[in-house]
Amino acid sequence: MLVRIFFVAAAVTTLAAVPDIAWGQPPAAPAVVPGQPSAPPPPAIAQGPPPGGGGAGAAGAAGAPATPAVVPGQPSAPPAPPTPAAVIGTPALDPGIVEVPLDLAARTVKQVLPFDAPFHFTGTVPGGVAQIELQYMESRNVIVVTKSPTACGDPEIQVSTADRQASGWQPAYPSTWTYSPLLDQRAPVKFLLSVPALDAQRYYLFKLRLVSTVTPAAMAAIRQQARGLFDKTLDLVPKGTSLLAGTVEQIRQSVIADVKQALGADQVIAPGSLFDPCLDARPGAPASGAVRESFRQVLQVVVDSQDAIADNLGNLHRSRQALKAALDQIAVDQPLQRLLLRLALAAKSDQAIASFLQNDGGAELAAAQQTAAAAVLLGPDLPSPDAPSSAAASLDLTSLEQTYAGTVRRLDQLRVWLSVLAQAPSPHPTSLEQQLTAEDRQAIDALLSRRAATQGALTLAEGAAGQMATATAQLRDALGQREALLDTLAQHIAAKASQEVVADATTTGNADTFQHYFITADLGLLYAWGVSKLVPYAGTNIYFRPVNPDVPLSQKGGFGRRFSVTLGYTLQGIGDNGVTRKDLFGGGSLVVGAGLRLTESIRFAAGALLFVKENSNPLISDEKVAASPYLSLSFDWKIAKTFAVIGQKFFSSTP
Amino acid sequence: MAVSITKKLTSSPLGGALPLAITLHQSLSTNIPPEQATIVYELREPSGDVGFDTAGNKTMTTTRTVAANSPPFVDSVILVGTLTGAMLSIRQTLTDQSGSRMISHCTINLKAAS
Repeated sequence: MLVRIFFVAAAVTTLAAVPDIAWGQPPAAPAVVPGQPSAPPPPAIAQGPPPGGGGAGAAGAAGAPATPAVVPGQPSAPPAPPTPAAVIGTPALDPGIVEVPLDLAARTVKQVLPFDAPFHFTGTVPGGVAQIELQYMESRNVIVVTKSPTACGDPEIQVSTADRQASGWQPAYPSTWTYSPLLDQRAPVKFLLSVPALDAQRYYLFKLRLVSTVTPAAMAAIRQQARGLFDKTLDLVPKGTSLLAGTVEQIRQSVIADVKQALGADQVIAPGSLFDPCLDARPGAPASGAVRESFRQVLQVVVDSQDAIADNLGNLHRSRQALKAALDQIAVDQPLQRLLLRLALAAKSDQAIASFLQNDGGAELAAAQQTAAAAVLLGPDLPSPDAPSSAAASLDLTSLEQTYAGTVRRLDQLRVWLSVLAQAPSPHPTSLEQQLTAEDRQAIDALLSRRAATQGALTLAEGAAGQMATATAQLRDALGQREALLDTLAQHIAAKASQEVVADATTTGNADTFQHYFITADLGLLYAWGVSKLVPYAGTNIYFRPVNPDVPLSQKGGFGRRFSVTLGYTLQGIGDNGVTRKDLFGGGSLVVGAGLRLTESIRFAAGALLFVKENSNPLISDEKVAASPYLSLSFDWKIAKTFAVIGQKFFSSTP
Repeated sequence: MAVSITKKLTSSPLGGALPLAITLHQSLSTNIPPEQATIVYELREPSGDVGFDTAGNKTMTTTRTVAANSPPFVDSVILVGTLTGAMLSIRQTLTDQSGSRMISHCTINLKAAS
């Protein structure tokens, strides 16, 4: 059986969710300390790839050298020891696609999400789940989730948000993970669901549908329980009446209730199935009419079989009464009874008569007025036609059929015996013939009469017994048909359930996508006209929107992802020994400007270099802060530090 | 043995939209051939405006001469009316010459006209 579990998981995207995957260093860290060019590199530089190499493992941006930083808020794998491939200047390994843990049991995302770049949700697949589908919606405002009960049963997930531009559930074709038997059965099965690039500063709501299988044992239990419930419910279908549409639907709802009762708490009835409780809520669904028609066809079999049970029980009752009346009529037939009495008396002294009386038990049959004999012919009492079908099902039909077949046979024997007795000319011994009168023969002929207008009592008894045998056979057929119907219904549940039986559960929740400015660091060279010098500098770049630096500008550009303001510090002094200027503080001067990223790693900027200007008159000690315009070309920290050593050596010789 | 039912009453088709032409099939036998049997078909309530051949005609009667091994009997009739989505039950009461009654039924699934 397939079980579908809906739930929503909320998560947020923030700046923190997108660390420097390749290097694992805090993005805003001014890693180079002025005046300390030989300072050790940031710890992340020395990090090597995680165990297992650069592939996309379960630990998040798996495979990246900076694994611990890939999944903020999550326990991280310990840093791998440095490897030769991770030395300064070696290009970073491809971080792969970021993996974000999704706890299906808790139905929550435990961390903020990456943005601007696709990622994978991953987690352990709950037992029995064969397929997981994912959709999400996006909003600039909080998304409120509610579950509203529906008239037809299963609660419906409803969302609302103040953002009029919020998306609906997307993608239209859900991201899907499907179980494969080729997966390693010894380890917990992991799912992997692709999520397209999300926007920063958004609320996201994820809806996952879990399609589960039910074990054969559980399915058998459901089927068995549902069958029992069907048995009771369908027995309540009115007998002997037509059923209008409203009643048909009431019966369908009763059967649906039976199915629900048989299903587990996390299992629901498959939409569009015979037992879909929500057909009325989906009047436009193409399957609605077909499902109703299917149910009417099933119900038709129910009504047929149950009415046939009632009909044949009624026929049995009437036939039994007719048989009893006919036997009573034989029992009180005066000429016959007088003849039997005379023969019985004569048999005591006449062996020929005694032998004839014993022939085929004719005398015993003729003495059908005796209670015991009549009871044998009539068989046991029968349940009322109005009784539940289960009462008829409890009858021992085999025994009944044997009884009624015996009745037919013994009545036939009686007919033969009486026919022989009344036969003329008589084949009997003289002594027997002497006992017979014309009146006796006339009485026997009357009993045996098959003329339509004057059917004899024995003929009536034979007819009734035959009808009882026929009704019993038809009762067996009707009961069998009903039993088969119950089996079919139960199997129908199983078949549907093994494809798509639905369970519904939700968790609500979402969190704010906090806005942060994204800060990067770079190293570059600037040329300031005022001082006529080319000097290296280290700077921090402050964006006015979160920027994922791992996403190429060619994939996601825009002014906001290129423009930033720069605050930096020259790595070399620009002073001229106090003749006209000196550095602002320490061994360098302040760099203030703004720039644009030309590529992912190269930035062009302009601004002002702030330094201390000396008075041109050496006799006057007058210092003031001065600014000189500059142009700069800088490299992202990741790239720049590759050249750090070279650069330092190159510029170290410059005064 | 009087008249007994050797093959139960069935209708063909099992359902459809009104007006609907149906045929009712049944096999009978008797131990005192030839035997007359009276057949009364009745629409069980509630059956709305459905009728045999004409609206509101709720019963239909026919007679049969039953042999020892009669071929199947067939009664044709047109159900008329406007009822839809209902399970219409047709009750048959068979009375043989001895006055013995046998009850049968069949059910027609009344669909909406397409």
